[in-house]
Amino acid sequence: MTCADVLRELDDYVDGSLSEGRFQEVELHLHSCGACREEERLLRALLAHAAAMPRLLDPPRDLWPAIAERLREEGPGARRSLPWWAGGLLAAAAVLLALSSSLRVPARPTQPSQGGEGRLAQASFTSPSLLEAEGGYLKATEELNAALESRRGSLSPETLRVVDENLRIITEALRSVRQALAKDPGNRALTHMLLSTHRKKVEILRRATLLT
Amino acid sequence: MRPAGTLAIVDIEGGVIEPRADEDRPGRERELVARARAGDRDAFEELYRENVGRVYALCYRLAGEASLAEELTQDVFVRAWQKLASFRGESAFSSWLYPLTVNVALSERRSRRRRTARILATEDPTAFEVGVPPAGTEVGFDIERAIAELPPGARAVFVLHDVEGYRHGEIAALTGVATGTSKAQLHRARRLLREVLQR
Repeated sequence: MTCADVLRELDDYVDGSLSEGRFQEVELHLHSCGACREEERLLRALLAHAAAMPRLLDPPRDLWPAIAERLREEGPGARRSLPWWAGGLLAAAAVLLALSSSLRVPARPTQPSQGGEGRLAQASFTSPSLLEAEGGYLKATEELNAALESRRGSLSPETLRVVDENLRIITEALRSVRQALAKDPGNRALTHMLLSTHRKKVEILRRATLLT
Repeated sequence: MRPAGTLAIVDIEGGVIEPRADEDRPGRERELVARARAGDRDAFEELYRENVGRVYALCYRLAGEASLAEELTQDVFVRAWQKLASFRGESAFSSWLYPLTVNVALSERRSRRRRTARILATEDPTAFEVGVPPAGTEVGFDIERAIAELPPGARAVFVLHDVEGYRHGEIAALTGVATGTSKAQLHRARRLLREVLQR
């Protein structure tokens, strides 16, 4: 192993997340390399500093009066009847429903864009770049789905119902956009719609996960 | 050694945070939560006083500046009041409050990024404000300042991973970035901090 290899692996080595074989290789290198041993020492010292940081810090002033004022402005006993994010989610769902129902793309190719941009679609949205972008969203969706699934029990039934319904709508919208794009590849508006819908799905999953 | 008065650790098993109630959690906290849920602001103030130190510490380290940390701390408790009905009481109040704190702090960072269109990914520490560190941090003064000077993305991951103990999968879910990005940001943060500590 070179020093560059060891420095790349040093985080995982110190965190204990290397495979046994890799761990031994790093250990062997550290045994004979003073420079890398010094990096390891500094990293462990840094983590020791982090562990020793006080868990409590006093704010410079008492924040309760300002908090109490904001609670008073909300009104007596004012609590939202729905989770704070539900309003935005339901609005997003309404927009997505409208999008889904408008996706009746004809089989014939569309005319090139002649709007303010005045450029053909294929210059900016080639298939490989779209695939790469969509791949990123799909990966994020997969990770968030896994996180949400593992914590579903901590959400109320009402919240779960809203989340599942909105995910169903978005998934359906994604399917519709993909079908339309398959018939009209390179359509800039559809490409934007696809990526935008992916973003909405990731956002909904992210917010739902944060509620758990 | 955990300082007296701090709350129970959070167990992490199989990548899922499983909060457990502090074994010595007084029934008083349960009573306070029940009263606050019923609208008793005095009870909520007591919950505030018992948790503000931890919440402010987290906000300060994620924000990197004291004035923003104060705003975020206020936002956290207002949000907690609004969402108190969703706290089931099966774990310590702090186990519910701290992930909410992380969410508020990171959401504010994203909002500021949209509003001000600042370039956040920079190696130049002078591009970021560094507020006066709070009192009582002399022991960890250098690392507090060094963390505050990190680029925001690296700072958030370092605080969540190395100070708060979150795993990369959890950080990815909280921040909306990929796990690989979280690891890369941690690597960057640790490298920058080692350079500071070496001076």
